[in-house]
Amino acid sequence: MSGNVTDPALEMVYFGAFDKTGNFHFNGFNTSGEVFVAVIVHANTGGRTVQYLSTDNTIGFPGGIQVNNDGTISIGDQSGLAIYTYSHHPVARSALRSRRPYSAVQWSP
Amino acid sequence: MKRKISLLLLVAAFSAVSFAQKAMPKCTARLSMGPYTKSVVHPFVNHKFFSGVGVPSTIAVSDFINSDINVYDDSGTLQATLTDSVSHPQGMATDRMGNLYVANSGDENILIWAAGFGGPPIAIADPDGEPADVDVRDNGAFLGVTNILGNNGVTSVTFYRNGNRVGKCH
Repeated sequence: MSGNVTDPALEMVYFGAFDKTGNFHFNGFNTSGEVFVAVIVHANTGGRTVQYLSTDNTIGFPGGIQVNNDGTISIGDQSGLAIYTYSHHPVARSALRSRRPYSAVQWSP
Repeated sequence: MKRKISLLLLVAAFSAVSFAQKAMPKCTARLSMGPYTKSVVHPFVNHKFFSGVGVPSTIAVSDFINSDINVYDDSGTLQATLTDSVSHPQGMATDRMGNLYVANSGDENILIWAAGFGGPPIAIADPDGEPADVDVRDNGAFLGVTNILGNNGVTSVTFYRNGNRVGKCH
C-alpha cells in the first residue's frame, strides 16, 4: 500500500484527524492564502486522493480538527477564537455545513 | 499566577467537555446548544484528554516554546513533565490503551510514550518535514501525520503503518 498524490494547491498543512472509517481530514492554507479543509477518503486502506471540502463560513486561521462521536467535525479557528462544528459525510457530499459554533472566549496566558 | 489560573480554567473546561463526550452519546448536539457553549477555549492550544485501560484520566498539553509536555490529572494537578527527546512538540493523539503520540516538529519525528510514561519514548522518523499534528487508527498501528513544512519545500500528509511510511500526499 503506497502512493503519492501531488497537489500544487497545498501551501501549508496544519491539523488532521481520522474519523471512524479511516477518512483523514486536514486543514491548512492553500497557495492562494486561503484556509482549506480537505479529506483523504479511506486513508487507512490505501486512499491517497485529496478532496477539498467547502465550508459555509470563513475560517480565519486553521486550528485543530476533531471528528466527534456522531460524525460531525469540529474545526478550530485560531484567529476567530472559535470552534465550528460541521455535519459532513465525505463520501456522500463535499460541503461542510456549519452547525451552531461554539462560543469561544479568549484565553489569556 | 495568572497563567496558572488560566491553565486550570482551560483544564477544567476541557475536562468538562471531554467528560461530557464520554458520558453522552449525543454529546456534540448538547454541547453546541447546552451549558458548555461559554467554556473558556483557545483553539490554538495543543492538548489531548485521554484515558486508557487501567490509566487514570489525563490531560496532556504540549508546549512548543519550552519543548516539553505537561501532563495533568483531571483535577488540574501536574503529574509529569515530559522532556526526553522533546523538541518543539505540536499536535498529539492517543489510542485506547492510553499511549501518547506527539508530533515532535523540532526533531522531525513522532514520539510515542507508553501509557503511564514509565519509560523513554519510541521515535518514528518523519523524513518529510516538520510534523504539525498526528492522529491514530487501528489502536495505534496506523498514523496520519501533517507536515507543515516539507524538507523539499512541499507540505504534505504522510501515513505510517506499524512505523513504516506507506504513503505521502503532497
